[in-house]
Amino acid sequence: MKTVVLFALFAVLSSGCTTWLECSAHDRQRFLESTLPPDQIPPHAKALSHRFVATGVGDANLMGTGIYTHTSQYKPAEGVTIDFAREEVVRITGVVTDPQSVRWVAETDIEVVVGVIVPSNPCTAYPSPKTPTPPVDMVIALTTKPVRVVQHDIGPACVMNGQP
Amino acid sequence: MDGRLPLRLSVLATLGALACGCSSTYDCRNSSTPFGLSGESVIFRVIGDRPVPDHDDFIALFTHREQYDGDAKDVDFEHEEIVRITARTGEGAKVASVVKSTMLLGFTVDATHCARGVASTRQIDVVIPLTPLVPLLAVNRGASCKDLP
Repeated sequence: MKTVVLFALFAVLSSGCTTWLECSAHDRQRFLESTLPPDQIPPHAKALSHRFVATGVGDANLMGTGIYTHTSQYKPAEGVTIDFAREEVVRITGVVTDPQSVRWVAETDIEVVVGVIVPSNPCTAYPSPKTPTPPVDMVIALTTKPVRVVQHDIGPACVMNGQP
Repeated sequence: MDGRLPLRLSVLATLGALACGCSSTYDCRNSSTPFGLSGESVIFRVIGDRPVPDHDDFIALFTHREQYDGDAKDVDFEHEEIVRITARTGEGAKVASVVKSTMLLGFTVDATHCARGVASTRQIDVVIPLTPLVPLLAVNRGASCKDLP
């Protein structure tokens, strides 16, 4: 029952579907991803080669996740070489504190998925604003797929409604 | 699965509500603002619309000419990119709007026409200015279309 309620919450906020049958295969995959251990790549995805690079100069206003595909968009840090004819830069901002928080990078048939461990939220009655974090840049092979971040919070669970 | 997931969702919902300036997430999302924000409009043009085999909704980005399999002779890939929307819309669906904020790039497709074959999958190619933002897709199929065969 608890799982059904959680799924309903997840589904409503992420896709608009309200029942398992109504949700698309993609919606169901997202639900599965949220139930896996942080270090486990989802079974519907395969690991993707990537390398972390020192943060370069990109769009300073970007929040969340960004993809840089041209030299006109991104100036690499000193000593970093990126071949934009074959590679692209994925930037994650405001989510993780360092590259070690990125546990895996994988791809499905339609998207690149990045699994990250996020700082725990304090167990307060109301959520606190997130602390700004510096961007984390990594290079992957040029692709037509968009990027999505899967967040795992491994902090201690809060007690809700008297239930652990 | 435990109490952390709803808490996380609650955080996301609250941040979303704060970002768009409305009092709750429910105020923010409707068919005209499906992403819960009033972002800046992005100028776009449609260069392709064709039927394709059935598939869940998804988006692909073509930032280099070599990646694109269609006719893109009028696309300047140094300053523009092609966003391919693949969705179950049926014939006659239109890209209603493209909006952006610092957090997202949102594409809204109007598929409320309830035409024959509304569930059939179409592929719509849209040209927009080059951006690092990751696009999101919302297809407004309209409540009445759900009852059609």
